[in-house]
Amino acid sequence: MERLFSRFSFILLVLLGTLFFDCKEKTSLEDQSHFTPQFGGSVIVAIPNDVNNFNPLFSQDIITGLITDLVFGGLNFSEFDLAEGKLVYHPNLAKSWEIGNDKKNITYHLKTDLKWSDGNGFNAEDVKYSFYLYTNPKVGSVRQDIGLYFIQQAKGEIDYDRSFEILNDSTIKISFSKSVDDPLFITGLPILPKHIFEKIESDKITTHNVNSNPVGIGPFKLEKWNEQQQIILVRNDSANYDKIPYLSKLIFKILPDYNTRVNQLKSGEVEMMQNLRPEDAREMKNNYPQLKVESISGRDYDYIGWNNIDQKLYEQSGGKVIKPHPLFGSVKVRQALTYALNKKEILEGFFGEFGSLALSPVSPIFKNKFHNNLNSYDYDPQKAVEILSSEGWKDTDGDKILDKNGIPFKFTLSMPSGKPHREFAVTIIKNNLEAIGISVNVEMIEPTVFFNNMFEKKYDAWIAGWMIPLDLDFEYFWSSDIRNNFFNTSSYQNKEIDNIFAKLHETTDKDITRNLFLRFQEILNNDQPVTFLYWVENLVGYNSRIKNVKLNPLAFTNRVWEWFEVDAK
Amino acid sequence: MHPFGESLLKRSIASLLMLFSLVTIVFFLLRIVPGDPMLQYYSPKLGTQLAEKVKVQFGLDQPVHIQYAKWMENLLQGDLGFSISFRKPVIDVISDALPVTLSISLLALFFQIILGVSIGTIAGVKANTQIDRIISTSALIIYCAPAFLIAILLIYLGSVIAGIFPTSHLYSIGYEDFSTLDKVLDRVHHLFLPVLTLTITSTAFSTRFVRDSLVSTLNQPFITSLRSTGIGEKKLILNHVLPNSLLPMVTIIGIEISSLLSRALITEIIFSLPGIGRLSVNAIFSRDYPLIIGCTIISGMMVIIGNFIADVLQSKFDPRVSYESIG
Repeated sequence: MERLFSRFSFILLVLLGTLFFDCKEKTSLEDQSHFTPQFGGSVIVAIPNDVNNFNPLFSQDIITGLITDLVFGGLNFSEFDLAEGKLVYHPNLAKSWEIGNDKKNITYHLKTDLKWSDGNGFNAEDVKYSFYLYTNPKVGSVRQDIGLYFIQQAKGEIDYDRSFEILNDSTIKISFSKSVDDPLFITGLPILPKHIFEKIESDKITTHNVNSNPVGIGPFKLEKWNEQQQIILVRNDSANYDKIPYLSKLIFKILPDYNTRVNQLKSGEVEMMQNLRPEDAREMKNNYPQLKVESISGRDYDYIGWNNIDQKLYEQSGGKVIKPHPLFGSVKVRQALTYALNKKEILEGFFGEFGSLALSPVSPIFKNKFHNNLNSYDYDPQKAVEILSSEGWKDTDGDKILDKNGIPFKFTLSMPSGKPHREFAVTIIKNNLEAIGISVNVEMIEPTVFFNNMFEKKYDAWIAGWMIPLDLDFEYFWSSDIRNNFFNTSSYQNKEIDNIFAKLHETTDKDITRNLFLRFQEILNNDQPVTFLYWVENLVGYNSRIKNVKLNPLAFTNRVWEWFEVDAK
Repeated sequence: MHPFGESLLKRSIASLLMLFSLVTIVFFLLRIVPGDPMLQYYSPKLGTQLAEKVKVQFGLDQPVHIQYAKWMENLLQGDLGFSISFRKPVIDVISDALPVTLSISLLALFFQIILGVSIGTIAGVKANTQIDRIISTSALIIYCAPAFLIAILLIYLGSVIAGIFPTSHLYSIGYEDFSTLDKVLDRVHHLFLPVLTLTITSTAFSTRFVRDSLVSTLNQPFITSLRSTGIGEKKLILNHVLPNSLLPMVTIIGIEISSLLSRALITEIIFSLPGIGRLSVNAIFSRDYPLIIGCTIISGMMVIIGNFIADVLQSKFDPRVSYESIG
């Protein structure tokens, strides 16, 4: 009872807190106040695919990450604070921490009474061993890149004893090879139990059945996994963990077909789903009073990629000769192309109220680093024609297609199949470009083939999307080293941007960082290495019986332990 | 050797050779098809470094012919390798999925035979009457309609309008706590719509098949002579017409068994059933080479077994087909 009370007062505090920040939250406070949180009940969430495994070492796709995070906790618990516009961290497996002055280390003080879901105790050895697992190349973890931050031995191997110094059972000091921007982010990975993993050979973990029998410390533990059918998580109340859910069970039902998910949400067979299409979100808002729809602004944007360099020449010369692309090599031409596109029409036609225009790769939710005064390249076909003409692109042979030096402005726009918003966008893009005398041939390609070709830079122009990294580390996407950074898919090169990245590595000062980020966005906005289209919002629909749902850009299940059901049984 | 045993041996050797060539072709074809199973391991910070390591783990860094030799060696020991996306032995992944597909498909096949033969016989006997026209026309319409349309229509009628049947999955949440009887009922409840979807589409085909075959048998001279002996119409149909007209149906069953996998696919996706059809498609999209080949072997075996059953049945029922000719 005491726990129930303290939990309730905590939620009340949170609700009151949000009241001061945002008046819109007021309605939800009134809505909640009719219901007292109670233990019990279950929520069924529809997901499009099964998890690949229950091991954070290998969780790559969004669904797997989202669900393993409910079973395995990290030293800290992070969430995106929309008011602050940045990640904030709370105690989790650690009760507190101190960050070294130069941000070259962080010392965690662990909670001493935590228990793994198999009953074994948790201590600093588990933390050290977890980082060993993540960074050991033999394990092949998908988080292996985290190893780049820690102290290296001569051979480029990590010095584990210096990087992870166990001061006592409940204190561990983690040191980095140099100052890092956000030590909490780097060390926030889910922690794994040493007593389970030390018994398995490193290179055998990848296929070991430990991947489907998780032992973790998190709000839930796995009760049953019927592959390709459902995942049943039950409240983990034996761990002495502070985030004990109200819900007894959280069930994920695997429904690959989008329409089936929508229909089951409407009929009540499932109670929550994410990634609703705008038209379904609108219909649910209008015709289904038992459903609530909320949108989370996120980190996903779509863009049209232009290959900035003459790829054929680059390949033929073995990467030695870099010449501008015959069509998209000029900044002016790329600016003209962006002017020629009616981005607002795409946004309003498909997303309506659920979306916003993208002008740079920094999402508006990152308030401190977002540039709110960039050129929006409003739809202006006349201006586009003028710029193209000044660049020498005119219709000289009367075939209604612009040409220059005998080359017609004609290209293939490639895109992965299966995303309705991109299919909607591409028709408008094609029409807009053809209206100013540019001939576009659209080709839709099976996603695996598409992305393979995109990374091999086989396309002149393409439509795709990125999810931007939480630490806003853009160096791998936009720095000039096109040979090694194959995530720089448009082969964009700019010396000033390289300097910005170099300076960002040297500084931890907030104002300097912010100014560098603003300048970075201004340069991209001017150079238009790609045409940024729109930010895609995550639309989440759920049954209004579920209360206290606070959606977060990190994951809609971020604060799942606070959810409770009305009339829970 | 007994002629049946000899033909069985010949047949098995031919089947193994067929399976071997199928798997070999698919193995090499997959390496030509664009797309990389390691795409999911590309990371901005590490580039392809991690992908390369996983490649080594799965032996995909070796030249194709060495991969093939290794894979064949494992196969001969009954090892189908590890699925890249499931991180489990391919055989485990397939053995989870295969019973689902087999149960819905075989149930549908059973109902297809019962319904197809009965409705087809009615239409055949009443050929060129109003009943025949209604049966034949509706069978034609259903046969032309794609399976997914039937599925969606059934979901609409059975789940949305009537609210009786679940629209997905093999069993309810909390199934483990049910009593045995409830478990059986729950399975029937969940399998009803998917099996009905498969049954309706295939019954339409066999109905028309049985009807036409019956009509042509009825026009045979021996029927006219039998009739002249004064045999009763019921006896004539049951003892003489049906056995003769159902022979071609035996071949159909064989073909139906071979196409079980491909037909179950749509149903599995729409009703969210974890069968081998859905598994194969997902394996192809993620370029999970070992799993794709595992699924190929299974579907290849189904075709071979299907044809084999058809041939054996045919030789049993039709004296004109000898054991030698099926070898």
